[in-house]
Amino acid sequence: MGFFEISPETKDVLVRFLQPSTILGIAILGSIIILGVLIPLISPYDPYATSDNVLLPPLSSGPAWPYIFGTDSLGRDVFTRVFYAVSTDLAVALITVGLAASIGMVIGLVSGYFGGAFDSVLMRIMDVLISIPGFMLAIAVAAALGASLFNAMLAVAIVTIPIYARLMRGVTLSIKEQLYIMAAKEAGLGSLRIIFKHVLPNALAPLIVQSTLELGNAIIYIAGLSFIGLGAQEPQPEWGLMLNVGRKYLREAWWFATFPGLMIFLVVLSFNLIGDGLRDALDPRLRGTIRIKRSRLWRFLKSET
Amino acid sequence: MAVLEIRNLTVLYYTPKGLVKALDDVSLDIRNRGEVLGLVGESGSGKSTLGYTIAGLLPDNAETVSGKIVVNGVNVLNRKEASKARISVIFQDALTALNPVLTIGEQIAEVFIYNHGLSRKEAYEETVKVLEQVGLPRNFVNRYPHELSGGQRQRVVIAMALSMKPDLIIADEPTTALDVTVQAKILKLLLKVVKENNLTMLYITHDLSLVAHMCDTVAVMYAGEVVEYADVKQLFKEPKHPYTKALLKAVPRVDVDVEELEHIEGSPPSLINPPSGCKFHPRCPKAMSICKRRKPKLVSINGNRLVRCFLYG
Repeated sequence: MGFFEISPETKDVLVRFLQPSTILGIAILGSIIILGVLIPLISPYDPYATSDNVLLPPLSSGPAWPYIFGTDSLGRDVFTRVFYAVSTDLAVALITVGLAASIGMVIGLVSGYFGGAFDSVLMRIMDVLISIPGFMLAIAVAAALGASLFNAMLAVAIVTIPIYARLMRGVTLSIKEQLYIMAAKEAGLGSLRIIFKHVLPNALAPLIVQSTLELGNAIIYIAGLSFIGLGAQEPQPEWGLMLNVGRKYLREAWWFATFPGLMIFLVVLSFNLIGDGLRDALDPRLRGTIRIKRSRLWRFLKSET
Repeated sequence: MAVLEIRNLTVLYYTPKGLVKALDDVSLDIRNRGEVLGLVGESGSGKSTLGYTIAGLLPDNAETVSGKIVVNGVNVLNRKEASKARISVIFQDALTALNPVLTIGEQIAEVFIYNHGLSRKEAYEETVKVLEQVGLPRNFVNRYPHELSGGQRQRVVIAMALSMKPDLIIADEPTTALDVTVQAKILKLLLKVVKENNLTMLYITHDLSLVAHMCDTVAVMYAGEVVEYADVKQLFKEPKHPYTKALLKAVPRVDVDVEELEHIEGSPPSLINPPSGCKFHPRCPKAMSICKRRKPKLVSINGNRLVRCFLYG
C-alpha cells in the first residue's frame, strides 16, 4: 500500500488521461495561467500606462531587456499586456463555454428525453442556428448587441449552444433506452428527477470532453470578434485586439502581433491536447484500445498496487 | 378480486417489414395473492411483450390496440390510473438495470423517498433492511454496480423490486445471464422472498424445468396466443396441447436415457404473415383438415384447465 490509495478504476482513467501529449498541454496551460496570475508581481510595468521614452526607432523597442517582448506603438510593455490578457481571455472563454454548455445541455436532455413534437421544434431551431456559419452569426449577433466584450461572449454562447444541445440529445436518446431508466420509470420517479439524477450523470463524460475542446474554439471566436472590433475595446489587454493593432505595424515591428498570436496558438493547442486526453480517459468505447507509452508516471502508478 | 386480469389483449409492433401481431387476443388471470404464474414459450412467442405491456414499458413502435389489463383493481392501460398500480419488474440483465453512476443505496433509497414518502434516514434504514432480506450486507449501500458480481447485482435488483412493495412482480428470465450455480441460489432467494412477503409473481421464461420448480400455474404461449393454461402439476403430468407435449418431450432429462433429443419440426411462424387457422398446424403432428381452415378457441376442460386445440372441442 502506498501512502495514498487510488482505486483501480481511477488509476485506469488517470493512466489513459496522462499521456505525454496531455501532460504537454497541461504544462503549457499551467505555466501560462501561473504567469497570468503572477504578472502584477513579476512585471514592474502598468499594462495601460503609455510611455514616450521607449518610442525608440522606428517607433518602439524590439524585444530586448527589460522589455523582453518589446513595447507597442504606445510604449506599453507587450509582455505585461500579453499576460494581463490571460485572465481576460480565459475567463471569457470559461464563461462563454459554461453558459452555452449549460443551456445546450438542458435543451438536449429535455428534447431527447421527451421526444415527439417538442423535440422536433427544439431541434429545428438548433438546425437553423447551426446552418448559419458560426462566425458570421457571431458577427451578426455581436454587431446587433453592440461592440463590447460582454456582448461578444453572449454572441459566441448563442452560436455554440446547438453543439451541446445536439450532443446531449444524442447521448440522452441512447441512455433513455437503458434498462435502468425503465426501472426508474417503473419505480414511479418523476421525469425531471429521472432526467437530472439518472440521465445527466451518465451523459456528463462527452459533455466535459466537448466543453474542453470548445474552450479553445471559444478563445478563437472571442479573439476573432475582438480582432474585427466587435469584442474587447482599447485599451483593454486582449489577444485578438492586440493582434488587430499589431497587424498595422507588422512590417516595422513584428513583435506587436506575434506574441498575442503565439499566446492564442499555445492556449488553443493546450486545450485541444487536454481535451483529447480527457476523451481518451472518459470514453468507454476507447477503453483498452489506446496504447499508452509507459511513462515514468505509469510505472509509478503501477508500483502502487 | 383477481390480482391480475388480462382480457382480450392485442398488441401490435410497427416494423419496417410490416405489422407484427405480438399478442393476439390474450386473456389470462392470476386469481390469488401469493400465486406464481409461469409464462413459457419460445423466443418471439410474445411472453416478454406481455410482461412489458403489463408494466407499461412497451417500446415506442408498439401499440396496444385492444383489451384490458387490471392489476389489483387498477386499469394499467389507462394513462391516468397506471401510476397507481404497484408493479415491479426484475429484468434479465441486472447490470443494465442498475444505474452505473449511482450507489446501490442511492438507487434503492430513492424508491422509499419518492414512492413511500419516507425521510432520508428512514429510507436508509429500509434500504438496509431489504438488502439484508436478499442476503447482502449493510455496507453494500455504498457500493457501485460495477463493483458487484452478477449474482449480487441480481440480488440488488430483487431488493429494488421488493422496495416497491408491489402487488405484482414481473420477472423476465431473471437468471439467464447468470452462471448455473448462481442461478440456483438466485431462484431459491426469489422464491423465498416471494413466499415470505406473500407476493404475486408473473415468471417469464423459456425454461420448463424452472417453471416446474418455481410456479403454481403455467400458461404456455405460442405465436402471440395462450395455447394452454393449467396447474403446474397437471401440466407436467398430462399435457394436453400438442405444442406443450412437444415442448415437454424436448426437455433433456437426467432420469431417462435417450439417443437423440426430440425436437419440434419447423420453426416458429412469422408473426407478420401467420399461418391460417391454428397457428401451430404447420408443425403439429396431429393436424387435421379443420386446423387449416378455422381458428380454435380456448376451451375449458376438467374445470381448471384451458386448451386451444380442436382435439378437445
